[in-house]
Amino acid sequence: MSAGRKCILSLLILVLGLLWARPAWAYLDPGAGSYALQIIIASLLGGAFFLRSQWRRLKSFFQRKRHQDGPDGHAG
Amino acid sequence: MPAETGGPRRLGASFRDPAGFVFAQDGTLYRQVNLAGAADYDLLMSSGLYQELVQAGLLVAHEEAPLELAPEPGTHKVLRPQAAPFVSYPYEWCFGQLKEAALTTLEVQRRALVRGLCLKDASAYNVQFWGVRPMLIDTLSLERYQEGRPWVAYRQFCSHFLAPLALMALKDWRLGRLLRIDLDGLPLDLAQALLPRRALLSPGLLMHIGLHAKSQARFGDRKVEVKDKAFSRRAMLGLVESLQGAVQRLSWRPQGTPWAAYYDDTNYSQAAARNKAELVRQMLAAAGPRTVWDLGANTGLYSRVAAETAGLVVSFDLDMAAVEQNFRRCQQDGERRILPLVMDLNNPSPDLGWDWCERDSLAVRGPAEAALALALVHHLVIGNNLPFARIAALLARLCRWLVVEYIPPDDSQVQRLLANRQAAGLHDLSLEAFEAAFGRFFQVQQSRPLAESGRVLYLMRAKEKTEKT
Repeated sequence: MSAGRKCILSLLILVLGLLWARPAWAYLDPGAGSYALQIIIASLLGGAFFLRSQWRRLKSFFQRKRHQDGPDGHAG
Repeated sequence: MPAETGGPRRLGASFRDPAGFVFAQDGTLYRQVNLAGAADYDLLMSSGLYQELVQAGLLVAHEEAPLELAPEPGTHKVLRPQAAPFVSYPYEWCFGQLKEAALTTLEVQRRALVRGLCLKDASAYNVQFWGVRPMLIDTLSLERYQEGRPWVAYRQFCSHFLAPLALMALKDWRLGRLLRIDLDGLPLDLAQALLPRRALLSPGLLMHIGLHAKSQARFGDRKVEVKDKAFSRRAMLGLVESLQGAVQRLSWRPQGTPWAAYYDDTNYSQAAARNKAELVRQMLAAAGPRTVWDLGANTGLYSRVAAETAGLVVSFDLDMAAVEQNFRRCQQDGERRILPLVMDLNNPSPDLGWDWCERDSLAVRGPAEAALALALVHHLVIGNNLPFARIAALLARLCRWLVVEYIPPDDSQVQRLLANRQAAGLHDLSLEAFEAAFGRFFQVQQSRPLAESGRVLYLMRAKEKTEKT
């Protein structure tokens, strides 16, 4: 399964899981929910970050390479 | 800030953070760093982050001041930060300003993480504008990053920035006004309820607003155990990138509001406009103000005239589309002296928050050395049924010098406003009534008729003691 599909699937599970939420009460600390959500989505965020940084590295590698192989012969 | 004398005065909004507080003395702003905030402050300075953020124009610069200035015991340092030219609040910003402030906050957080620090607050009130450039002003909001812990300011960022931006972009720009009611940002369940369903098709908004609101509802009454390494550094950087993407994807086109096309739709020629600009220039030169408030500035045509000589022009308009256009133009021109803000003079920003001391009203932030009220007064008279005297009284509170334009009742712009109004129910719009009312609060220094119209431009100086209306 591709990373993109994995992301969509985990998001879907997340949506379903949270659909059973009970109503919020304003006097309760909203911080707990924000913490919980971050922990739930941690691997999704970390994975996406990892993939994006790999992609950026790959892109800059090829850009450097193209630059070096360019017709003017000047290295970037 | 007006010059004051006497002892130090702690700022009304500065009470939440045990790490320190802001105070003013003799017209200068200082920040006391308490012993409780010493370790984090020292880390900020020694890590190289302070230097990096200041050089990048993301954090306000400061100097260390003598410790004797500290008004309270338990002091680690006293700082003298560079003061913002004019204090403004998120409910006075246009869409573009709130978006820039959001991106600044996230960029600070991203760079902080790289150097082992983290933002403990992501309040929109911690950002101020130097021209079009937003900067974080709360030096003490950076603390040591503890890897494994989720972002403590995540909820605040979503409520202060992402939710109002999404509502303005995807539902209605007027929902940005909710920021004036909820000073700690929009409740996420409210934002979710107000957003159109299609908004939640965006993964960023679904996660940070939709699921966030659901998660608050589900876990709000439970204690969440945070295990070590529950939220890795990579996840934290992913969160910041995800929020950056969600903010960046939101956009708003400034159109469709009644005033956005005002200058395309005026009744006077280019020559008359040039004549008016020249007279405004001459009158401001006679007054020589360093700060000018342009009231009813629209997209800031005359603010630019004022900015030729004044060091700061705050360019107010009630219409966010006009303010947005003004802001974008300032960004394009690299204009540093103009600050466009949304302000409705019929209901200007009040004192707000705890003890009415956290956020200052417009009047408290004045008076300006000079104000422009061009093609404004007739709108207030006709739109809000205000007599000239009440308008003059307010303007005399807001400025020392005033450049004001009188527009006669037979002017086509006035006729347009009057189209659906019974003239009988209106206050006197005559020149005599105008001069009599303004004469009670101001001394007229110059009056010049404008070319090709019955309009008159005045330079006035506020009388020392104004009488009550």
